[in-house]
Amino acid sequence: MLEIKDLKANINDTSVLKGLNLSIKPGEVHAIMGPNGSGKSTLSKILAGHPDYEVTGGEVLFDINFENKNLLDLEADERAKEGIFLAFQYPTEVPGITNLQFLRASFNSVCRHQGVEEMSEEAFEKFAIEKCKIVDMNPDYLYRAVNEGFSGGEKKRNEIVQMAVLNPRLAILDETDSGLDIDSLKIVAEGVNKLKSQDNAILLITHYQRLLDYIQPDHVHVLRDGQIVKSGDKSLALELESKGYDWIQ
Amino acid sequence: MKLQNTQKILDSLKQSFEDLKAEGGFTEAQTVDVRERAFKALMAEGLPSTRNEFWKYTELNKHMKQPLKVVSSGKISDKELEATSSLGVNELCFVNGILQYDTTQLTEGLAVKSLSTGFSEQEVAVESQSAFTLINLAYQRDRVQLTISKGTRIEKPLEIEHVYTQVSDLVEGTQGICNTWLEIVVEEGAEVQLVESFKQSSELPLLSNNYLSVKVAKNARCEHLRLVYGAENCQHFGRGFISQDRDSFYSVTTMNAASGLTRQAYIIEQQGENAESVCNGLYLCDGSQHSDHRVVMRHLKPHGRSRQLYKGVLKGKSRSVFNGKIYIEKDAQQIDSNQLNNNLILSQGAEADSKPELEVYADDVKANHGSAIGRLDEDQLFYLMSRCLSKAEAVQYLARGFVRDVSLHLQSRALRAEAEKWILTQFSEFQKSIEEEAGVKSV
Repeated sequence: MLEIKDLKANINDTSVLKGLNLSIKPGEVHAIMGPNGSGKSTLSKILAGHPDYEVTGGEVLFDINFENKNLLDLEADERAKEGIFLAFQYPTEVPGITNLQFLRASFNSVCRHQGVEEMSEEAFEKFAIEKCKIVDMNPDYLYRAVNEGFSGGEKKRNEIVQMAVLNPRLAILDETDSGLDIDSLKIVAEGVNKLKSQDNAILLITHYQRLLDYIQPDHVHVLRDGQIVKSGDKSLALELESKGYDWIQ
Repeated sequence: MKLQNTQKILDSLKQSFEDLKAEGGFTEAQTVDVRERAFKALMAEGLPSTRNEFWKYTELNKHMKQPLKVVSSGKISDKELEATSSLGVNELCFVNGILQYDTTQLTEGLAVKSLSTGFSEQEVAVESQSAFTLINLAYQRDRVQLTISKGTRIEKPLEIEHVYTQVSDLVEGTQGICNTWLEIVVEEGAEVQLVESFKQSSELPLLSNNYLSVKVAKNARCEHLRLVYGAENCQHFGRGFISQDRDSFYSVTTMNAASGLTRQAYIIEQQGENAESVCNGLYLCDGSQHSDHRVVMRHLKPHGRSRQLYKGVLKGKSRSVFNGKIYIEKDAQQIDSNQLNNNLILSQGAEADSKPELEVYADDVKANHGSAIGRLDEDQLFYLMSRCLSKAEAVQYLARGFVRDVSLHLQSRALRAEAEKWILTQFSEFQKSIEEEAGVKSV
């Protein structure tokens, strides 16, 4: 589904990714772990199409209608419409637009792209209220401005509601667990597990092994200095938890 | 050389005055004197240049290039009537600045009458009026007074619609000017909401020159929404003189977009204690459009409150001006007033000028002002785009979010709905313009 080949990228002329390779198949859950500054968040932003990063080499192939296309040729909104979803580490507040308006605009944008009928206001409202249940979010939040005045945990839940509405093929969760108390973490993780299927894939980017107790990864990768230096199964995460990152060279 | 265009306009106004006189367009004997005095003062004064402090940032010479012709016919054909408006109860329709009395139906407690035979305060002091009010006085055909009588409470908003129709005697290369004069009297204890709309059309280049006066009596309430549906080759000018008696409430919200040049000024005077005034606005400018808003909030008596909130979104090479003043008289203690002007600039070439002024002679008052000029937040833009919205759509959403509190400040739900409708139509036009630009660039 996704094939990252020798990806190199800069921000402000500083090299942050130095030849990264990764392959993800439908139905898989991958976790990327690594110390601060290793390039974890950079990777997620590049995949989603953040304009601040300059890709200097490599390609990212994504299966679009059974054809491999270079994701890097597409704008952020086009990638999103093809099924790439980034749950932000720090979700942005957007004053003046309600969550519901925002979700409906996103959803209908995908409908238009796929050539199917857009959903009416009434039907969408019901649909969105249903999706809130996945992370036990109070539907009142649908009528508030996007993320404005939300607590850290509420923002993260809101990201998962967006994911539920858009039903992406590849969801990248950028430190979705950071700053969450254990109860919120469980709720968010359960929400993600409910959305997991044989047709989609999840890329978890995290600092802590804790999240992986609740979302089971098929593959764990260690990112260090812009490259994946070690890959393994779930046991690698446990090893990292006890030994830290320094033993990997 | 610099005054070339404005001189041409002044000459054309002179021609119009003589033509109208010859045609017998001015009939009411009582107003002849006022007309002549206003006309003379206008010719002596000329149109304001940027040397005039009040016009420092708005250069008429640059925006008004065509000679003017005063539009004298105000009839509307049945076909046009059908197309422009549904003339129901409590809906006033001005065609080219002339009220259509025969189609006006008002409920009890509301009345309109023509003031063309009487005098008003402004006429007595003709020589001290500004140029565009002089034009209103010199070329007046009908001055309308709308009265909301004592204790009347109107549930649904009263609609005032201004439409402009094709004028047969308008020759190529000239621009029409429509003069409107409206005096609103809200009597003691009365309560009313007004939605006023100005519908310009690109097929008819014209300047709408609007005079408004509102008198809000003791304990009366009036919430007033004014929507300008502009057109690039049109100009919108307005002056509003508001006076409030004690315990009264008056709120005016002006929204304008798409006109080549907009200039709207309000002078709000609290003549009685414990009055509350709101003067808010929203402007959306693109291309080479220019929008100029000014507010003078005059607190003459104690315990008054006032709010000013103006928000603008600018793109292209457009320019906006906001000049808001809070004036507090020596004896007007315990005043709570504030003023805020925020601008969102979407392109390099756009410019917003904001000039707040305080003139305070009392010592126990609150008077705050602030202004900010900012650009679009890149993080917000990326966030929306990562949720499938195109760049133009995302910009449109963020700009709409930025101005939304102006409509949220409207107390009446019906007015808020009207304001939101205006915002939606104007901002979707705005989005189209962003898309067109992006399209041009990628070719």
